[in-house]
Amino acid sequence: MRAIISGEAAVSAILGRTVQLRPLGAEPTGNLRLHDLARALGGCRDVCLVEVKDETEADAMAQQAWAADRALRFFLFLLDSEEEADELKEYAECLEELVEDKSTRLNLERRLLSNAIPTLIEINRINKALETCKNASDLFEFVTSLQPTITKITQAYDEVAEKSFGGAEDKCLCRESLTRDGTFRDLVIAIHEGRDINFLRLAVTAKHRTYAQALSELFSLLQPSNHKLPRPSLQEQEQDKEDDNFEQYDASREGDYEAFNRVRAQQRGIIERLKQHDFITAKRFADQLIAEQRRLSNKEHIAKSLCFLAQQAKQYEATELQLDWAAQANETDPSDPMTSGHLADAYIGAGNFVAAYAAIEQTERRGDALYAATSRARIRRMEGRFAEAYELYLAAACEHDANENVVHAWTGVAETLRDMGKFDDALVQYRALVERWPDDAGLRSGLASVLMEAGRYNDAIKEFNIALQYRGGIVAENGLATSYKLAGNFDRALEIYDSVLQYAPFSTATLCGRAEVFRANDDLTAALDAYKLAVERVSHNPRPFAGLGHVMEDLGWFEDARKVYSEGERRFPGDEFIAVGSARLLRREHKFQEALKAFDELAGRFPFNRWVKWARGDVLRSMGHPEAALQAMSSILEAWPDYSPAQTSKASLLIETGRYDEAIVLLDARDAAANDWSRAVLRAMICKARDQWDEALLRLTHSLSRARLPRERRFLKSAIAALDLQVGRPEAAAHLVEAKAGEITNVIYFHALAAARKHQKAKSLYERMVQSERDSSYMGIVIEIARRFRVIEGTPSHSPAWITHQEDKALLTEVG
Amino acid sequence: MVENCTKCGTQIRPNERACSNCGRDAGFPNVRAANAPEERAALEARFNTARTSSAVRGTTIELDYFVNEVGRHSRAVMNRSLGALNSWVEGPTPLFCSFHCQIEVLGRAPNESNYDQQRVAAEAAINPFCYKEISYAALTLKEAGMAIYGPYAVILKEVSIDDRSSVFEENPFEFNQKHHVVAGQNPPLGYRASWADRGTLAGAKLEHKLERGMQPSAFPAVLMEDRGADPECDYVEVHIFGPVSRVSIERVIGPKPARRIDVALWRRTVRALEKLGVDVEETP
Repeated sequence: MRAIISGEAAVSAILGRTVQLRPLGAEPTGNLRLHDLARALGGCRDVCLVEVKDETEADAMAQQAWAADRALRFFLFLLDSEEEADELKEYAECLEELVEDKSTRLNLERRLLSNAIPTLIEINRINKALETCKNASDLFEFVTSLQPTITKITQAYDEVAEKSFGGAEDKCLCRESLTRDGTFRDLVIAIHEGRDINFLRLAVTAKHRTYAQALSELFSLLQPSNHKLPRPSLQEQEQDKEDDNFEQYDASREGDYEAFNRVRAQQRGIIERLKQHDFITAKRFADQLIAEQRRLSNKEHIAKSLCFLAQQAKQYEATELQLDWAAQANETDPSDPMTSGHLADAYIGAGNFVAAYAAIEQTERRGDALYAATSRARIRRMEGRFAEAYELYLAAACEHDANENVVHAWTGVAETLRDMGKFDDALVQYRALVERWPDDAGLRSGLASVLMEAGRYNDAIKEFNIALQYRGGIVAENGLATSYKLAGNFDRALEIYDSVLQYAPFSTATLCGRAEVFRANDDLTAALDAYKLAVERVSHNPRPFAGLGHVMEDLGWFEDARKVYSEGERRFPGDEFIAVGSARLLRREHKFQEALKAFDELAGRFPFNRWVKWARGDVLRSMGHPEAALQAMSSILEAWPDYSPAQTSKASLLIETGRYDEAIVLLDARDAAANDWSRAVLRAMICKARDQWDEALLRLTHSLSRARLPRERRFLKSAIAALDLQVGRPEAAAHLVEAKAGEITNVIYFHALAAARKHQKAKSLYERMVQSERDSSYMGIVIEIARRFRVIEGTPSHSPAWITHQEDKALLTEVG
Repeated sequence: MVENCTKCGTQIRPNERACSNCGRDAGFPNVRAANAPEERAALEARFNTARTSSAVRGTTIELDYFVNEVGRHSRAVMNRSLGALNSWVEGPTPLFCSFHCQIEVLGRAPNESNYDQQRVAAEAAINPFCYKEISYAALTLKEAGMAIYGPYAVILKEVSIDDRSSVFEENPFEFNQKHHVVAGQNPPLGYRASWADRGTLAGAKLEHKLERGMQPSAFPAVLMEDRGADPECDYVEVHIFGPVSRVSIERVIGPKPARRIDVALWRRTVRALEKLGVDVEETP
């Protein structure tokens, strides 16, 4: 392992994915970054990077470096003529303590003999301070006796031209190297003792080959009678040794069919463990495999093996292993773009985009410009910058159209069109791609997804089935299930998810997708059980946790949801989904002050999370600040013009404030999509405001005919019911409306029952609503309706128009 | 951003201190960057968002107080190890120049450059034209800094740094990770300010931590969390152009070391500091 040592700072730091700082005599601190380390070592000039076996060795090196640093300081402090005698004595004793250790003394000598003491010193004063410190005294005498020789050598070194070293910086570097490895010391002692320095010259120039010429010049200056020897036999011996090793290595590197089969078998074993989510055993098996391959195979094979394993780890959601194996592959073969490409992919999967960019740049430098370009586009897409991602994908696809892997770039073009809501263009793009690559299951799935988002569920189902014929795998299966869900065929969706779980029991997407089918069907109890199963099976993944909490919120079990999020924060500190869940819970509880504070904090922590920014705006609206909410939605749309929830909310706010034309422009900006129902409700509200009752009804009933999910149907029916109430058709409203506790739909239902004089039903519902915490925010309207239609005693405080206005406003808020 | 010399109109490059034509001082590159119109506008927008939330939550008074307090009383603090502090205070002298390597070994040899690249990449992304000239400190309202970087908190004299300092939202590594900034890309606007506007940046960043009725005594922990020994501790970073001389030190706070050898070093350092007129406080 690699470590950074500084005696000046008295620390060692173990380098890994994060840094562990180990101050001498204090507890280590983990989870630092290199940036933190740079701050911690600010002002230190003895920082060096070393290879160590373990933390103990790093600590020992730090201790030595500290001792060397302090010994040097105290030696130099002794030379300070302004220091008091008492203090000199203290320095002498400290120095004595330090140089009792032979290695400290040796390091100190190396430093002291690399430079002459430039000041005049008061030897008597120093000797007095040292009189009880034998080792320190010997050292002082030793160093002072060598000053003339040291001066001679350092002057000779200064005389050698910088050009001979390769520049001023290299000259300094070389000097530091010669100091640290004791060359200067050995030279000083050899010359002082009058010994021949030829062998020293050979050893030094062999060790520092980069500076051989400059060092030869140095030695020539020190011993001008020296002449060049023929090519050193030492070098020849080293060369022969290398050749021997090469022959041996060559023989040992021969691959054979048996070895290949063994590797394959071991890889299969690792994949089996990954499938079972037994990541610890998978890692152990992989370590064994790679250790064996390192003995027998070349680096290309080892790297390929690691890349293959990384790919498998990705498939089975073992993010840490994917990163680990990809990093190993990249280190093993640092010239292959495939290894850095896998590393980039792993970093992207882990959300570490800064590190991903570095790996992408490596990939580009190594020759795979297409992969680099599509990866950059992918990151932009993940940040929600769809227009930018589109341009990047398109540029990559056009530039590299002849490349056999260009399909990914073209797929990115199609996907970003979908992201931007340009479904027609996305379909055109996908059809062209499918024509060009008819057997590509991924393209079929992509095409199906666009159809699904455009609300063409039957076509989507057909395409997903074609994708499956071309071995579309889990992606196509899950997509098919989602299509059935959105089409309202929940049973079929569940069947598919359950069959996927037979062979992929730990697939997070499948487990959560299954839970969401129950949720979409308003079967929250089953959704809860499904998420509990997901948490149990993929306990290393935060998504099921977040999903479980969300369902509890839907059930109104706020305290239970809070506990789940707390546990989630403990298990997955800093996770975005969990953090957002906690904030959302506050909003659901109508603790708007706290929710606003939480969303403000989250907006700072997760600057690319558009939902958080949207939620903040929504909270501002709930707190009675529509202008501030409008500003918030506009800000979101400035950065992410395609973000549909912000478009819908902004449109809804514009309607609330009477700015109908602007709202229409916004609502018509997107292609027809599966979430048309909210658009239909908002358009109907505008029609109502303009007394265009028939058109309002037409829009709503048309959308209702296409709506599949319970929530969509509920709101569309409630919107129609609200229309009926306003035109004096309460019976029709009461007959049509579907309701759910906590929603405005429940209020409209109550209103319809009361207005249609279904007194008993109305009374019964009223009593339930009064007791329910979930309907508490609407109690003002409910009481007013109850009084107006004499469900309860009391004089109404507001007009019927007020009730209508409140219902419309609430409908706008909930739909928006 | 294109800048021109106020005297002769020649374009000034982002990394230049003075006009290449007439030599007029152009100010410090990091401060100029913070004062760029688009940067100020973006910070203003962020602050307005914070003010909106503050108005809704009923904490406008606290926000105003906080901004004012930070703007007037916050200081730059650097944390150092004992060895580095002693070197700072007693060097550069001929003694120390001779016996210490002038170039950091880390990052010089080719196989080590990866670490050096990572180390400077974060800083280079934020101050691409002058990161090598920047000295880093933390912004504080208390007598403490980021202890994770060293046990000795060195408070700097405001007069020594105010003209040449800017402040930044947080440590650049964290920032770059959050905002996906890499070298060569422009970081998002609105996250830096001049020293004079540090209160505004602090308000934009930290409004959500203020509570109604919060007293000014609580502001130091808002500005810099009370966990300076934790690498996750959030703080506002100060970017000071140029080296920071020992005469810029106003106050040093730190513990008496445990080991005798370090105690001797600490005592010598204290004497050197006191000679410079620095106020030294030894903590338990």
